[in-house]
Order: sequence, then structure tokens, then C-alpha cells
Amino acid sequence: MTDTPVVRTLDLTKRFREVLAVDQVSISVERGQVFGFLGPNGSGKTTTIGMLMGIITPTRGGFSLFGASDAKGHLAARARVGATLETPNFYPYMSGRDNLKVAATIKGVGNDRINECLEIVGLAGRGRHRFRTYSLGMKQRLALAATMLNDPELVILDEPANGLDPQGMKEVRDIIRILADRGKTIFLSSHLLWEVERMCTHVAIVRKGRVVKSGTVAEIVSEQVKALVRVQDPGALEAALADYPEATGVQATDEGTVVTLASDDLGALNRYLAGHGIYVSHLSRHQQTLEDAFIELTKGDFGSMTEIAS
Amino acid sequence: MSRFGKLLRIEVIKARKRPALWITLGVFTFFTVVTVLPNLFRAMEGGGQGPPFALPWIWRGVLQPPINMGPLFLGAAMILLFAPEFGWKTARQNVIDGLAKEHFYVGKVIAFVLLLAAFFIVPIVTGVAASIISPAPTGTFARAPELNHIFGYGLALALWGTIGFLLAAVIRGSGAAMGIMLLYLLVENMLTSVVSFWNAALDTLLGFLPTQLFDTLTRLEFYYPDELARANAMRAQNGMPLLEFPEHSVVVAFALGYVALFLGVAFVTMRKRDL
Repeated sequence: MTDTPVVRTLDLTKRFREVLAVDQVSISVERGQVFGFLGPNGSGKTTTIGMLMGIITPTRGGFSLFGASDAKGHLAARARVGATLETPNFYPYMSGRDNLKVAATIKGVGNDRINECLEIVGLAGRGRHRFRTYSLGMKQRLALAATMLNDPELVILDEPANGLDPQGMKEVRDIIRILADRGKTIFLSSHLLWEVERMCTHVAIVRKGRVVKSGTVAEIVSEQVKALVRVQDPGALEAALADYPEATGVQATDEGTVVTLASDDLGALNRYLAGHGIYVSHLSRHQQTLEDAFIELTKGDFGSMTEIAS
Repeated sequence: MSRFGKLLRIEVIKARKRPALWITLGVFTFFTVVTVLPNLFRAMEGGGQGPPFALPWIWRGVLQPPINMGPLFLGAAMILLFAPEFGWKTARQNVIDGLAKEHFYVGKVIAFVLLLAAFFIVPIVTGVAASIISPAPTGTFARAPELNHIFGYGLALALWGTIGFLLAAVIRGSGAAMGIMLLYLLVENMLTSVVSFWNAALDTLLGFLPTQLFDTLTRLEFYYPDELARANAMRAQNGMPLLEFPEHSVVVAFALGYVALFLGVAFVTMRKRDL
């Protein structure tokens, strides 16, 4: 017997006048997965989540939450979801605790749960202070506390590490791990790829509103055989590789030259280069990272990749 | 907890600690008391002309400028309470947390009704308290003209409150919504002044625009025949056209129609637009 996917979208599309923000996105998130929804800023991640959460009306297509696919069913299903979108959205003039009271009343949970959640995110001592006095890290943690109030089966987090320092990122990551260990399904949108690679079991890469690839992290990063080659004269190496039939791609990086190969035979590559008078100082299998895969899949879309790669 | 109880609780939590709301209500209460005090002092000294400063006559002394500006305060308070929910993205978060957009809207209608009640009660309590303190002989709470006057004040509150409600839902920013509300007030008054100068027939029609209707609903001459007679006698003396008002039922129907229209447009806007 197969479980109903927790989230399933089918050709989900959103157009804002002339801008096609989300273009026929079809994804499926199964129970217990930590699902990474990746893409650069403006690629349609938040809009997609907004549609799942009922704040944005899809132009076309549809989705189901816990198997419910109509508006009434979505509303009932959202009681099983905890979500936060973009920046933490709270009333600045109210205390953290009062803000959680609003969320708790909407979710139909008692005040005792507020204390528990403040405790989990380490804000028990600051609960009575106004939200506007919180640091960004504290605001993010309060948002996480709000998502946990109803002990949700599905946690949706949109850029939860945005603007956080390394310590704050670690704290958020730890909280996500706690949630994942408790068997929650987690839908995590981010452009911090190393962050996602550490936490996610499955990912979907979105580019200009379209999903360009999805699957397990292993599936995304290991489909191609790559070799990292270091030589004295990279120009001569590239010229020699132009005639090597097994080489399907060559890319110069800071570390050396990354050669994409049609076969797994690194020895053959070494022999070929030696035969052409090129002796390597380093030859190793290059383990593709999620970041490499992402950059390759979204090649040419962005001016600067610094934000994505950082 | 019932859905209504839940929405009420949410709005009470939000409103309780909102300084802008309490400041607006406080300023209005201050104006109300300050306006009533001179009349009360005169009554205590046994001076003053006209009807006694006590129930039921007291209402024409209470529900007069600037207290009859209460509806504008309510419009502003409604904007302050509603519009920032979009800027702070808390309306969006409320929906993410599990409210339907329609429930969020109903919550704001509940907040509106509570605020309307507060702005209605302040002058009523002030009037009753002043009447108790005043040495003038007290009669019944209100007769038919005073009841109409009090009801008209409530209707004027609803009219400007819903204008604030609509602007908050459509403009989604408190500064801009407040600016447009005041601008509309000015533009409509200027328009009617200009048109009435050129075309008397059109002037009658423009009298049913929201601001003009508000003006009618807050005028003593609309409720009290003796006030109307006095005003018209003065106007006749000065060669001015006499004051005429439409039937009460027509004014009430138009005002209620506007209230329903503004709430309806706000609902459709809320439902259709993304958060």
C-alpha cells in the first residue's frame, strides 16, 4: 500500500500579469522526507509555497495537501501544517508570547504549548519582550516556534536561515534536525545549497519558475562521472581534451580542470594525456556537489552566483 | 471555541496592545469631554439659553462639533487597525496559520463592530454622566427626535468606519489610506460646492454622496424641527436658500446601502487579491 503524498502539485502555474512566476510545477513530497526546494531568488519558490498555503491563487494547475485537493480540504489540511514564509511575520508592537497567542488561537492549541515551543527555540526568557526588540536570529526562532505550535505533520520553511550568522544558522539547522528526527515531513526552500545538502533527503531544483530536476540528493549529484585534473599548462590540457572522445565537458575551476567523462575509466584518461605529452600532477574522481549540479542546471541564468554559492 | 469566539479572541489580542488605537480613542474621548464641559459649567451656574442641559435635551449639546467628527476618528482607527496587517504581512501569516481569507475578513468586521461600539458609547456615556451632574431637571433618556439623532450618529460612524475599512483593504498601507480618505473628504466637498453653484438639480443628487450624507446625518436641523426653523429664519434674513432635507428613511437607506457596498467591495477585494 502506498501512502498519499503529503504535498503533490500538478502543473501548478502562477502568472503575475506578464511575469510567469511559476510554470507548470509538478512535485511530490512523501511522508517523512526532508524536501529541499532550491532555486535562486526570484525563481518562484515563495510563490509556489504561497499557493500551497492559500495566500496566492494559482492561475492554472492544482495541488493536494494530505490528499485534499479542494479549497475546503486545503483549509482543513492546513491545520496539520506549520509554515513560515520569507521573513518572520509578526506584530511588532506585541510580545513574542502574545504573537504566539494569536497563532495558537488560530491553530486551536492551548497556552501551555506556547511555553513548550518558546522553550524548544530558546526564547523562554524573552517571551514577554516586544517582537520589534528581537534580533533577526530571535525572530527566525520565534517563527520556528510558531510553526511548531500545533505539532504539525508537515513543516514548511521558506529561507529559514536568511540573514543569520553562522551560529544562528546552526541553531536553525539543529531545530530542523529535531523536527526531522521526530518524523515530521519538512519542505525547505533555500538558496543556501550546502545548507540543503546537509539536511535534505530529496530536492527539486527550480529555474525561472520551472522544476528542472528533482529526486534524491544522490540522484541529483552523482549521475555524471567527473575527474579533477591539475597540470602545468591548462591550455594544452584543454586542447588535448578537445579530441578525447570520452570527454563530454571541460570546465576550468579554481581547483583545477574538471573533465566530464562518458565512462568511469580514469586510467584511460591518464594514458591518453601521457600519450599527448601531458603529465598530470593531480588526477582524482571529482565528487559533484549539489552546488555543482545546481550551477550546471541553471547555467547562464544568473549574472552573479556568489549568493547561491556562498 | 466557536469560530466567532476564536475570531473575537484573536482581534481582542491584537487590539489590546495597539497604542495607535488607544491614542485615537483617547483623543476622541478627550474632545468629547472637553466639548461637554463648558455647557455643563454653564448649566451648573444656572446660565445659558435654549433647552436644559439634561436628558433628553442634552443630546443636541453632546452630538455636535467636534464630537460629530467621531466617525472620522473611527475611519482613521479602522485604517490603523487593518491596513498594517498587510505591511507587516501578518494577514498573510494568519492565513498560513489556518484562517481562510474570508475568516480573516470576518475578524476585521468584528473589530470594526467593537470599535464602532466604543466610539458610539463614549458620547452616550459622557451625555448621561453630564446629565447626572447637571442641576437641570432630567427627563427620559431620549424622545423620537433624540433617538433619531443618536441612531443617525451611529449610522454616520458606520459610514465612515466602512470607508476606512474599504480603504485599508484596497490600499493596504495606513499612511496612503489615511491620505486618500482625507483627500476624498476634501475633493467631494469641493466638487459639491462647485456643482451646487452651477446646477441646483445636480446638487440634490450630489447630496447623496457619502460625505454629504455624513453631513446630513450629523446636522441638528435634520432631526429637530425647532433647529431647522431657527436656521431657516436666519437664512431667510440673509437672503440664503432655505435648508431642505430628504426623508429620513431615504437618507438611512442610502447610508446603509453605502455601508453594505463598502463592506462588500472590501470582501471581494480581500477574497480575490493575493496576500
